[in-house]
Amino acid sequence: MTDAPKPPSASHRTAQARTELSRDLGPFTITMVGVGAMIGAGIFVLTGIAAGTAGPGLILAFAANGVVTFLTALAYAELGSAIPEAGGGYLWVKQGLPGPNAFLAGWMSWFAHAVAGSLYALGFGSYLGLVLEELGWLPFGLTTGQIEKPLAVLIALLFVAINFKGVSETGLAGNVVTVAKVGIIGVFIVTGLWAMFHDPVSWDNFTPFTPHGLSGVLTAMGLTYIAFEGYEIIVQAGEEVKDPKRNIPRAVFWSLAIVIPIYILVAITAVGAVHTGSATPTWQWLGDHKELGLAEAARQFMPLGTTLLLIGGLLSTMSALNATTFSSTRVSFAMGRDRNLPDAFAKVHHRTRTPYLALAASGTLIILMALTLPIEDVAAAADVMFLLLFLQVNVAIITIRRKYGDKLDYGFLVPFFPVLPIVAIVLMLGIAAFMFHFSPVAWYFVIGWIGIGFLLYFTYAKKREHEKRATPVVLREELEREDRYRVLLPVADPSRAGALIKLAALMARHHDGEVTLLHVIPVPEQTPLKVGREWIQGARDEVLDQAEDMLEQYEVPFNMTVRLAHQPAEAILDEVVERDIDMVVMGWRGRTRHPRTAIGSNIDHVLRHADCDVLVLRAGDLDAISSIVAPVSYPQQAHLMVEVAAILAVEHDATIDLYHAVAPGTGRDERAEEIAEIQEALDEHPEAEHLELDVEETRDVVRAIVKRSKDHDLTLIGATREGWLRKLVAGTIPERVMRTARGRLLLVKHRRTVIQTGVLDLIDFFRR
Amino acid sequence: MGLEDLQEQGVLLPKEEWGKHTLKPTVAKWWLLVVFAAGVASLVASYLGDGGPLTWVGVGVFLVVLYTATILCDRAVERQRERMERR
Repeated sequence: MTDAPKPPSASHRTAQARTELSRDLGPFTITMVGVGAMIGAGIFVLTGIAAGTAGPGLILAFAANGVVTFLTALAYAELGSAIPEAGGGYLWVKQGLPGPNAFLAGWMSWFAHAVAGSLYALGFGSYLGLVLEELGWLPFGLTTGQIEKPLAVLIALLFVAINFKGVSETGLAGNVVTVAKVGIIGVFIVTGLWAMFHDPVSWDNFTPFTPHGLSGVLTAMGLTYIAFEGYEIIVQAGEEVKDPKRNIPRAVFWSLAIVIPIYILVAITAVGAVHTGSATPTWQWLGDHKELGLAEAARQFMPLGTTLLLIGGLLSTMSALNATTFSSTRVSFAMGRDRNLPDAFAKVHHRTRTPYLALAASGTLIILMALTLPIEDVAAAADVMFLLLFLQVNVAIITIRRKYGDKLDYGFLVPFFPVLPIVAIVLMLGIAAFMFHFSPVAWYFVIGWIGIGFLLYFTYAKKREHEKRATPVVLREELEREDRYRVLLPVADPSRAGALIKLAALMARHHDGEVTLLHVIPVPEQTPLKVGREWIQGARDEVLDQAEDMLEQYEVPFNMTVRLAHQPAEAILDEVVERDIDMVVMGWRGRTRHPRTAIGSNIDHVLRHADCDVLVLRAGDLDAISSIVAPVSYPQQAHLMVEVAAILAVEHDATIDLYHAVAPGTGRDERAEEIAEIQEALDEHPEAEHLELDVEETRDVVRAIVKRSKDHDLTLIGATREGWLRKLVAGTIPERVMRTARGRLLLVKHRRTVIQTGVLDLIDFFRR
Repeated sequence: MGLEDLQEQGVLLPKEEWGKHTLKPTVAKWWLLVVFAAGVASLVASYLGDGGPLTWVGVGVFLVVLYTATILCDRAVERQRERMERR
């Protein structure tokens, strides 16, 4: 009997010890955590800049952003309640999307948080610069604008140092900051509305409502999107939330229901309660003051307005910079631990126990972006990156629901699925694309970063990632030479593997190479892999020792590996990658138990995914071979077919019948070209010098091959270049030959190209 | 990433419950559709109002719509828990 998968309820948990955080956060507290994360630096720093682009339509921009955010919040409510882990969006993308997406989600998340850090550092620089200017403490006649960037660098360095020390803003200090900034915004709104209702002229400030048209509103939406992303923290705190299935989705919804009206009210009061004293409209006046717009507005209608707003701005930007320094470091640290980035990123300082190299890299990124770009472009870059990240989550919810739909315990289900996630994707893509209109430079940075990410993934991270999740090797014997041709021979039952051992040995000997004997210990899905370790010795004695005795007679070097795996095919593929295997030799008994597989689930999987040549033998023995037939169809395949046929022919002193079928009606030129290409490939093999290519015109290639196979002791079958529709409807020619032909068969598949591998992986992902 | 990772995280239902829970959302989806349409209409009204009374009607309706949508989703969460706990 096997164990059921670990369920969420305590009654079903296994006795195995598991560390869990205590669940302290109730529904009100976790909602306030989300509110505190959203109301802060974004609204302080970006209101002025966004008002300058949207005009009074900033109100509309905040409301429309609320709709877009609400759509993504539905996805967060579903996934956050079903998979309430600290990883949040990054984890879901990892679960739901293939290959580079998980890497890119981390890579983009690192950049997004770091650039958000740059934005907050610049915001802090501006706010502190204004404080110094107000106090008359700016030396050498410097202005706020001139001192903004040096101050941004200093504060970024300070928070890198604070994070290095391992001090975080938690407990009382964190709560004080949250209460202070929410309180200041509250006073700003109340006093602003008071001023507006006592001065009817204020309402004229809202006409024209959208001076730059809808494009200004869309730009403001993109610019302020970052002020809405804080609800993600609710999901990241999922492990500490009481009754998470219920409270996480509710907190996501209610935090937005609190924050969106507050933002709308801030926009109303900022535009309405200000009097510029000139013909300049208030929205333009706010835009001219950029990140200090809100502080300057408060000067007009709020008692101690500028002072309070400056305090609020300084506290918010510091708190947000601390949080983003921490989160960008945590993301790059996690990527180092997942082997997506160099191991140095996962190094922890021996004294402070903080990931100092990940922190240094994140700090460098924050400072570089703050120094390189103006604050509007930094904000735009951060916004575009967050939009693309949230977009990935909306794609991930579709695939996760499809892959694990009825296996998860949901606290909330997105209605109109998958229409609403798709609408969210389209809207976010539209807003992100529109940001190019506002800041092309931001997009260049984003595209550059993603491009570097792709390059890094395919040249570096992909292989390391694979090494990390590979099936464990529990026994390995190595030979000294690293550069030798390697033939991998998976062995399950040595008593039936005589022909395979001979074939592998002949291939290795021909290339002056070695054989790797692999035995995979299959472990049921429900059982942890480590349990399989108790079967290692048995495998060594019963399988590998016998195979070793049989292999010794061929006098080729060999080594041995034992792996534990839930899927034997995965273990074979892992060995191919780790040992840099050139050829895999496998056996087939001649039947499949799975209706959806062509040859057998393991062989099909290896044939499809192995990045090396593969031979699949259907034969009880390889003795007494006097003639071999090898139907070749195209040059790349012909190379390997001739090589294998020649090795076997030399060993058995056998003849080779090379055969090429052409369809009736093939034009003379086309036929000549086909044959010339194959002949050219054959000419490269000295063994094929004396061989004639027998060309036959036939409608039924399968029948023709099967007929010829009756006259030979061994039939070689190679991969073909058939159209996808034919493969789908009828199966490939080799599959049909292997099902129909009697006698000994050897399927020969040459190494795939990188493009073929990518396309097949993609098709495979969507078929799963 | 696959079932094993989710299993390790302890987020999967017990195997005997796989396929036994419906994936039909518990939110009153037609009401939500009406509310969503009203939300879009309120945004359009705000825009067309050009800072005049229609803009403020639009903003007011938007806030009502926001709270209605939140309440609908909140109730859906409650219903979903009841459905899961009933089994």
